[in-house]
This record gives sequence, structure tokens and C-alpha cells, in this order.
Amino acid sequence: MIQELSAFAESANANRDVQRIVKNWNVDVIVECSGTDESWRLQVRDGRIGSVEHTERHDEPVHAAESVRLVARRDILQGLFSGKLNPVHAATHGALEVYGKMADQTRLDAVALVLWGP
Amino acid sequence: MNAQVLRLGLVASGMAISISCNTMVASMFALAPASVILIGIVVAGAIMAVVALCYAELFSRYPGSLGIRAFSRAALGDRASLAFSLLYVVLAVAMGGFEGQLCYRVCRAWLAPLPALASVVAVFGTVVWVNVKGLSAPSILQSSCTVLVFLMLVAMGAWYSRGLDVDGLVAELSGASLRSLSAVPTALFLFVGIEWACFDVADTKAFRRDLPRALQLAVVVVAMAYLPLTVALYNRFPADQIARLDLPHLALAADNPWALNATIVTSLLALITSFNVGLGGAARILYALAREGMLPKYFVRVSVPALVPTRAVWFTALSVSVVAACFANPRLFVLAPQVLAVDVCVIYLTTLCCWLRSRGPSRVGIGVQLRIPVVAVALAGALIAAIVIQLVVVEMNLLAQSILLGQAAVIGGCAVRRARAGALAPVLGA
Repeated sequence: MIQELSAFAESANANRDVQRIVKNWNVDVIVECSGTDESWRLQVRDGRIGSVEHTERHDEPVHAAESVRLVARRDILQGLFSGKLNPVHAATHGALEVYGKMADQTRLDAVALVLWGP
Repeated sequence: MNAQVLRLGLVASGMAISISCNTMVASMFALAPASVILIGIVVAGAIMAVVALCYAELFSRYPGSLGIRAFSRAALGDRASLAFSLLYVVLAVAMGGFEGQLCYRVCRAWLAPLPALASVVAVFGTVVWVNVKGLSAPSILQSSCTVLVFLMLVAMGAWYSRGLDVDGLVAELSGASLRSLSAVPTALFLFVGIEWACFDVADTKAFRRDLPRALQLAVVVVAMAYLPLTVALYNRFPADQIARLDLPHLALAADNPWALNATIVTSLLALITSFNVGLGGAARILYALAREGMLPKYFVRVSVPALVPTRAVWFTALSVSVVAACFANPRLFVLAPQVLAVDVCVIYLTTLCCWLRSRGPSRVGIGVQLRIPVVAVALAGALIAAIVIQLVVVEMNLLAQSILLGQAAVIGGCAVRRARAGALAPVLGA
């Protein structure tokens, strides 16, 4: 999983349109694997997706406003961060749960849209 | 009551309270006597209270998705769900068009036809520009507008209900018949939009207590706004005259220039905020459906860095303009309340069915269970179904029935076509 997340961060940081989307955006993207304790955090700071790190799984289902939390099965998460799965489709099918402010969710979806197309 | 409940309550009631609802209230006088309309509003409020709770519970199961699409897909399957989502778009566009026509009529109270039309185009153009640029109106402006319109309706209701003949109002009950039931769907229209507060939940914890409370609060607020207006209209005008009033609140204030001007300004403010919210909402549904692959990819384009689905916004704006122009036809304008009311009833009936089909603990989302009585949901659903059938079969004329049939054919055809186009390919492998 860390490979997919790192590759995602690399692609996003290399894309000019993504840079424009995440400009002035400071948020932690928490990625949680459902059914396990595995969790990762992508730090978005000042227009760059910085470190990708393993974190403690949060028991509390809702986080502070400065974070977006994605919860799904490992294969779904891998598909999402490698561009093989459409996040909107996954959320509609109940395979992906996204918690966080609407504006942050919109930005995250826009990043996926710019990187991998509709 | 905490700040979150108040905020969401304001959003919910703000979505429901609009100038078109005043026209709806007036149109009900063609179907039922005033006392029955009052009962109809209370019955519709009770139904809406149940429907709103179902929405809150269903939305909580799919955090991060377009709630209406996700819960209806799980309960009814892809095609029915797509048709349901498209019906929402059609309703939003039709309501926008109706409000646009009313906006023109409000402007006509001050201006000649051409300047009035120019003003409407300018106002509408500004709203579209604001949306395309991603410059959403401050929430304080939206909330203030809601409070202002609510106060206007309550004040008008109280002022023009002076000297009310209560005995006469009660005596009208004896004149009620089965036909009077046709007023209930239109009364239900007064509450439409309350459920849109579910889209505005920033903190998912709110689904547990704050959102359900806010929705119930909004139902009470909306009822409190339109019950006094109904009484005031009954008190001031004969029933056959009320049914012909397209802007009843202006008619009430007509004898006082100050009150009339204040009412016109408040109406225009309310119409602008309704446009703004409706335009953004419908465009968002179109974008989400296209992003999922259910509508043409044309709608997926997003402006960077504003992140606005520009094509969906322009398409919605254009559709609303066409519908608004269509409502200039007096026959269509008169039919609008009934047709829109049927659309609302179909949407709410579908939602109740979705809840019934998917009730019980859920492994998806935050798993909120609001302990909504099954009997209440089943009763509300049965009541809506019976009344809609009665309205469509008995009350509606051929033109209205044809419009509904045409609408159903277009939406159904689109849902089947998109489904066949391969959009339903199993992407998840789950």
C-alpha cells in the first residue's frame, strides 16, 4: 500500500494542474484499511503532498476538520490510489467511505480526476 | 439546542421556504377549503418529518458519496436509482424555472415588461457567474435571507388575519370531500428542500443527533411560516380569487406602498438565494452522475482552481432559462403546482421505499439508526401513494398527465440507455 501512496504523491507533485488545485491546501489525508488496524497518512502542506507514513488507527470515526479520512478494503484503496478505480463509483457502491469537510473531499476528487481522467 | 442544530435547521428551512411556495399555497384554494388546507399542511408536515428522518439515516450510510444516488442504488438497483437521481435534477430545474418566472412577475410589480425581463436576466446572469467562479454566497447572507422571509410571512400572516371569522373557517370543514385530499401533495411541496441539509453536513457526527433535530426543527418552522399565510389569504380574499393569485404575498401587501415595496425586495432576495442554491445543487448531481459514468463525460469538466463543474452549471442554467420561458404560458403556469407536487411525492415515496428496503443495522458508513417506526414510514408511504393516484387520475387534466408521462418517458429512457451503455460494468470486483 505504501508503494501506491508514494507513487500517487509523486505523480501529484509532478502535475501542474494538481499543484494549482492543492495550492494553499493544508490537510492530512488519513487512509484506513477496513477490517484491519492498518492506517497511513499523507500530509498535504502548501501545495505539495509531503510525507507518506504509517500511523495509529483512529478509533473515533470522525476527525478534526483539517483531515479527510478514507476507509475501504485494501484492494479498493490500492485501486483508488493507482487510478484503476473511480472514487465516486466506489463511494456510490458503499465500497469507500469518506469523512471530512465537503470542500476537502471535492479537492481530493479533483486531484484524482486530473491525474487519471473521468 | 446547539449551534450545529441551529445552523443545519436554518439551511434546511432556507431550502424549503421560497416564494414559489406562496404560489403553491394560493393554488391549493382551487382544490380545497381553507380549513382543509390547514389540515393538509399539518398532515404534509407530519409526513415530511418521517421522510426527513429517513433521509438522515440513509445519507449517514454513504459518507462521501452523492447520498440520493448511493442509497437508492443499494435499495432499488442501478437503473431505478439513476432515474430517481435524474428526477431530482428535473425537479430542481423545474422549480428553478418556476421561480424564474415568478422573479419576472415580481419585477413586473415595479417595472415595464422589457426592463423587468432585463432585470431578471441580469440577476440570473449574476447568480450563474457567481457559481461558475466558485464564489459561493456567504452562509450568513443565506441564513439572514431565510430569517427575513420567515419573518415576512409570519408578520403578514398575523397582520392580515385580524378579525378572522373562526366560526366560518371551522364551518368550511363540512364542505370537505375526497377531492380535498388533492391539496396534500401541494402542501408537501412546501417542505421540499428540507432534506438538502443532509448535503451540508460537515461533521459526520451530526448525523446521530444534530441533523435529525435540525430537520424536525425545519419542518416546524416551515409549517409556522405557511399556516398563518393561509389564514391571512382566507381572511382577505374569496377562495376563487386566491386560486388565481400568482404572487399572493404581494396581493396581501398591495394596499400599503411601504409594505408592498418591502415585500418585493424580500421576495427578490429570496429568489436570488433560491436560484443560487438550486443551481449549485442540480449541477452537483449532474457532475457526480457523470463522474460515476452514468451521464456523458461532457459534464465532468471542472474549472481549476475554483473546482466548479462549469459545464454542469451552464447546462442547468440554460435548462432553467428554457423552463422559465415556458412558464410564461398561462396554461403551463397554472399546471405547474400540481405537476411539481406529483414529482415531489414520487421522490419522497421512493425514499420511503428505500428506507423500508434497507432498514436495520448497516455495516456501511456511520451506521446511524434513528429508531423510526416502520408503521409511520409505511403509513406515510401509503398515504402519499393513495393521494398521488387520486390527484393524477381524477384531478389532473390531459395536458398535465401528458407532461408527467413525457417526463417519465424521458427519465426512464435515459436511465435505461445509460445503463445499457456499459456504465454498469462491475468496476469494483466486490
